[in-house]
Amino acid sequence: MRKRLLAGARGMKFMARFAMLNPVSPVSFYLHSPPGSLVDV
Amino acid sequence: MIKSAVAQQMPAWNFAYSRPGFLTFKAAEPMEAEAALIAQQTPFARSGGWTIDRIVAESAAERAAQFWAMAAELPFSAIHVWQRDHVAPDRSNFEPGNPAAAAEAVAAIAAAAPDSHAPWRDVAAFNRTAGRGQQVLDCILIDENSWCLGRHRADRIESRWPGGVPALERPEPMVSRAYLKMAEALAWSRLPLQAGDRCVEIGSAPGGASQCLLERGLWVMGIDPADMDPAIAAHPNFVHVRKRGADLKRSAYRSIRWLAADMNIVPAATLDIVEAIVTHRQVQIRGLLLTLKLRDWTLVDEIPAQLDRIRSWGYRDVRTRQLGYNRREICVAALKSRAQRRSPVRRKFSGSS
Repeated sequence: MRKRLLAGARGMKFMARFAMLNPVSPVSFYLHSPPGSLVDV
Repeated sequence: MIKSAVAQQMPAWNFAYSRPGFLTFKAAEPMEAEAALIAQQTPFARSGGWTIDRIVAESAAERAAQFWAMAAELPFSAIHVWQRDHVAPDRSNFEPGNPAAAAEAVAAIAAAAPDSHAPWRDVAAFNRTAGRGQQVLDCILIDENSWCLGRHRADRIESRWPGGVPALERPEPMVSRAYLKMAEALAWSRLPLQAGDRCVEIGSAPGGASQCLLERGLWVMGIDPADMDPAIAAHPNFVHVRKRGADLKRSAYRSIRWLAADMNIVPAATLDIVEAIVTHRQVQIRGLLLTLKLRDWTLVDEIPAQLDRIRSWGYRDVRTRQLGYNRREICVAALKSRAQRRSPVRRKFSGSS
């Protein structure tokens, strides 16, 4: 978990940089899996 | 399934733009970001990351120019370009990703690389397995004129592969597609199989997975009432037992250390057969690679209980993932302890019989 939190902290730093490019965008996350019933889009 | 899982675990996330197999979520608070790393561990999410922006343009050259307008300012050391899956995994023509489409997009991006990123003018620089901890830019080919720019940190083994799928070399001839499933399962699970180890494969015909195990120097006992491919059947390290897994005497498994099972039956039936073997007092199997078929999506609800059942046999390190080469099924990797994954013990059994 500690490693994961550290990774999150580094991610924050990264996001702070690209948030400058698009300051109004909230945090957005994507997931990909094969289409079908598992992703009920 | 993923949408509902995220809705339950992360109520602050709002479902946003999506295409079949590709979902985006928005969180109002950046602090939600840490939770995303946990959410992407659902076995059905092949890959995940932060969305930077969508790229929409008529030509690949225009999209590549937009890519670099954003990417040039960002810190990264790897670029993965991959297409979202368009075909459901239970279709006969399903293959993960689309290498031809990815190669076309890579060529456009490489051609548009600015002077500040000249090394990326070489197409061979793209779609390499990322190093542990590297920041990866993801260019996801969504539709004909639409890409999505994202990024992730390559922490877990699968996040180091473009789109979460390893680049596998196909042998010539490849006995069956099961070769790819086994090769990916071994790469993902990091089970410490070693040349000379004894492995049993239940449901082995025609022999694709056995072919993969034999290539790695294992001794394989294939159990299946059906015929094996002649090349596999004739391999000196392969023994074919023309029976069903449940019909073999338990003593036959005494020297076996690894068990793989891929049978076209419901998960509970697969586990019934495996349980009868691994819980026998004379049998000491260190690790399992099981394929659980999800013929009916309601079977997904039973997965947590099934993983608990496997843990109850003494396997403490149990993980599951819908592999890139899995169809409507998931792979379960189980080890007696996580420590075995990190430091393989010295093998006790070797050679063929």
